[in-house]
Amino acid sequence: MIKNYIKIAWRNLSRNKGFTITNLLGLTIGITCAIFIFLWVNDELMFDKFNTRYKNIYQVIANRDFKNNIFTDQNMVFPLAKSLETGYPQIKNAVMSSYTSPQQFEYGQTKLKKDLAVVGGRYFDMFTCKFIKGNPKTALLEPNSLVLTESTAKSFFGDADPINKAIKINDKLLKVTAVIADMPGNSTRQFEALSAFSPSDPQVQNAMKEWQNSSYSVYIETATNPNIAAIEKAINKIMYDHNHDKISTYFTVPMNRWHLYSDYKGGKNTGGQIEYVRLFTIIAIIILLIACVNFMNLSTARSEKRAKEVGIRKTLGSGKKQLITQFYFESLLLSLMAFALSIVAVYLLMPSFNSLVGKRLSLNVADPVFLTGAFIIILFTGVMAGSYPALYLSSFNPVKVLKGTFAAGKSAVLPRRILVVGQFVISIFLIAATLIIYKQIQHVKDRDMGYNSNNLIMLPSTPNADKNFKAIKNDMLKSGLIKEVTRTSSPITDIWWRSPSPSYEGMPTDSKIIFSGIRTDVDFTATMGIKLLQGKDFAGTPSDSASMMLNKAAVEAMHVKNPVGMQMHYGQQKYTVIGVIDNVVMTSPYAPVDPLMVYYGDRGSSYITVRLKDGIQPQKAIDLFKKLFAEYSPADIFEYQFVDKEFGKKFIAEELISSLTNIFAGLAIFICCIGLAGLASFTIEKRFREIGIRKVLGATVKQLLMLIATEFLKLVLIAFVVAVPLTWWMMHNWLQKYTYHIDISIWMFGIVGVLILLLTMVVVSLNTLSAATANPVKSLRSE
Amino acid sequence: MSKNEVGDGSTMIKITDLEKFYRTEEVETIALNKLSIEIKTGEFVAIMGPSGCGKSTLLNILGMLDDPDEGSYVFNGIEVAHFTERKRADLRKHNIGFVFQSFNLIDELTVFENVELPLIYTGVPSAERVKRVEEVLDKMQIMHRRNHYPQQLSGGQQQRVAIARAVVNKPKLILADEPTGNLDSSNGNDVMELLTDLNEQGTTIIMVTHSEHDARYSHRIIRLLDGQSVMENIMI
Repeated sequence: MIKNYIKIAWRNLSRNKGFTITNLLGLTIGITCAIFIFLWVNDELMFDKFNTRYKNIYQVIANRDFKNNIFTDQNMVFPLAKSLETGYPQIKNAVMSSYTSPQQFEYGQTKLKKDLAVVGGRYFDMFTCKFIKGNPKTALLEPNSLVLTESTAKSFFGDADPINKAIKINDKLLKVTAVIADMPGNSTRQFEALSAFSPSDPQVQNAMKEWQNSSYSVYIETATNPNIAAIEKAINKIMYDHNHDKISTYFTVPMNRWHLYSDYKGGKNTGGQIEYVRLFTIIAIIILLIACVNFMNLSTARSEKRAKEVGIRKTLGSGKKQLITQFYFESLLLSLMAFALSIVAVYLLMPSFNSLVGKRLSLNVADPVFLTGAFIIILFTGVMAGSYPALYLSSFNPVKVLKGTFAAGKSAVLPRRILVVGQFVISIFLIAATLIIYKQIQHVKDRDMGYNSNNLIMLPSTPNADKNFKAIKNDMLKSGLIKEVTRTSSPITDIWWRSPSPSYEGMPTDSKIIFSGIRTDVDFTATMGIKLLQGKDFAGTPSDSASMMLNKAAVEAMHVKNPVGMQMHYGQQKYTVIGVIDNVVMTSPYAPVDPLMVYYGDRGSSYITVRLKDGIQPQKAIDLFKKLFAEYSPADIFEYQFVDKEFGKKFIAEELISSLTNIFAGLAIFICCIGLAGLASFTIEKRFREIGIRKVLGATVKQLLMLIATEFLKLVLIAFVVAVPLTWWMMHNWLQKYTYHIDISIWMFGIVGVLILLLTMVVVSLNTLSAATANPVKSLRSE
Repeated sequence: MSKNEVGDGSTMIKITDLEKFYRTEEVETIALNKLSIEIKTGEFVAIMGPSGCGKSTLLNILGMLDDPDEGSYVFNGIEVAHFTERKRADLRKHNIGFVFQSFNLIDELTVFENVELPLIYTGVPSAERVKRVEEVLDKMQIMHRRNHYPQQLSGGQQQRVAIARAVVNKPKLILADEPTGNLDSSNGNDVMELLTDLNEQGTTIIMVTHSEHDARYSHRIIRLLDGQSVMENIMI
């Protein structure tokens, strides 16, 4: 019986080639999208799961309440991990880690920057790493031990054995004790090397007594079925006992939330990457549904042709169930074929997709997770696409069908129209969303950043370069290539330092202002191209060290009228405000600019920033910088960054979303158009005689095209009316994420409306044209 | 006016050596073979012949729905044999009405809307359309059915609607392809009476028919065989 079902299904599909190809194309695109999204979503959901203690690892973080302004902070004090290690049976292990930061590694002649994290000795008891050489139990126990990832080891030692070799990092020799596999892409913790805190190090000994300043991450491994509330209470008690800190509330975050739920606002978790996981899962289902709807529509539209077959089968004794099974077999076979084609497509497109999303995904067809997913997709598609046609077609009354009094397809017209409207609603939504996301990114890119990032190059400074800054600056200016040079404590593209407001005269006692800060040398505004709104920049005179500049946002937040000349008290220091600068977008381009204080410092800078003269080849300048660094800071690696490129990185997430919605919207619309074309050709087939009659009566080709197109344009119009408020609501909510955002304007929907109308006209016209220009004699032959 | 002296005596249609072939990959069928016919304004001509003799092909060419492969077709003094599709369509919608055996009404439109169609395509303004459709429906005695759909009518009524549609534009020529073929004899006679009335009011009528009975309503019968005119009977 099953063999017969398959045979008949196969014959039906191969006989109706147009129908089969249309559906196969739609379903293949749909399933290919679904597979890619499935791989991406799976990778996101699998984050950190390779850790064998995944379920029992937690990070300790804190909500810090600065005068009702709650920040969620991962930075913990140094001794916390140690205190948690003992005395708490619920906690099996506690490990700390410094931030991962690029450090200069030196071995022989090879000098490279590698991302290093300094961690507690029992790190590998908690986190799973694949050891290639060395022993996880002892790798970090000895002072000055160093664990390298495989590619880091290779970059220094090639194929030679790195164990026991010494690498110089920050003038200290560390001994390689182990080599581990590179961290997988789906690990939250990323680094290229690990070293251990050495208990004998005087700095570490000092840090062990430091219960105020916090800049370390703390992780705990709990016993099975831990009482998290009790653990959190214990942590809070330890902290309070040591520093009487009243503003912080400590809590733990399980490893399964690190990657997907990393956003906090006002001390509450607001999701994070999980939103995109959800969004793309929905998009995958929608695209698959659009393809299924095509199948449903074309099948029922084709029903007139199949009505006779159903009638004969029923007369010959086929039950409804058998017919339903028959039709299901057809859709399942089609879905299976589409899936096979999709696998080929996925293999071919995988490299492009990986470079788009910045992941290293691969398709393993033997993977049970994949097989389950595949089974679900095939079944979902087959059943979804086949259900309506199967139920509809099998319900035909055989007597009516065979007598010819049955107008097949009539009762399916309304559901079919509803489905087409649904498809259009989704298409309109996707086009509009794409447009709005694009406009939002452009809007932010066009925002006045408050400085000129063109021709601006940042050079990460070194202690030697900092010491010789004046000479370097002098040489740069003498070269004729450089217009201005300054140095700062942090890059112009980021804020490294935040603090509650300095006090000033008239400051309200409940002031909630949080200030950003940056320390600069002279020529700050000139180099960066920042507008000085009032007062003056630092002049390099001794009084500079008691001077400060504010930005416009600070002046506005402080509600002062004449800021220049006013006194600010910060710590033990007193500063006079000498100037007000324009707002500079240093962090998120989507957020408003925070109040900023700029104060003077002529040493300890992290970045030298250089403005090139107009028309200078950047490479020429870079060659000069290289030469100067080789002269003044010969032991260090020379690096440079173009400020506009660094700034551009702030758009990576949004641009990825933008590209993905572009692609998915394009594909969804394409699938819709295929379905539309198919439906139009069926409509024309059905109305062929009518077209002939109208032609005989004098209708022009244009009038006939309009006649058929109107039928679809009406549906587009309904879809438009449904889609606009829906899109507006959803995109309005999305835009609320960004403080600096566009308003959705009517013309955007206007463009989308015109676009979708044109598209419908073109698709329908192309299909109608042959019928409209055909000789009407053919359609009117009554014999 | 006697039966064989009709109209104003001028020639409406003159076809000379008309040829039409149908080709498939292997065979070429001659539908019309050097056919020459002349029809005067105001005539009522019946075309008869066995199946496949070229009757319908001739009617389609006369109706400018199809073009001949060879020969000349002069309509009201204009050579139309090699007119473009567009020009033919334009000439057709202003001069010719069609009546088909299977009525060819559009199921989705009401009686009124079906009859209104030719007026829409010739650009008659809406108010004028209503007036003219009502006039012709009244004349065909189907006014009371104006809001019905074709399926709700009897065959005879449907053919009345079809005739109403054919004449609403006041064409000079009506081409009828077996207009009674799908009707019983009583309804068939009614339709023939209608056509005769129209002819008497001056409309030229060319009718293809299998029925000798119907053919008797005409002035002249042209008998076709294998694409050629084999005999002409003048009806007395």
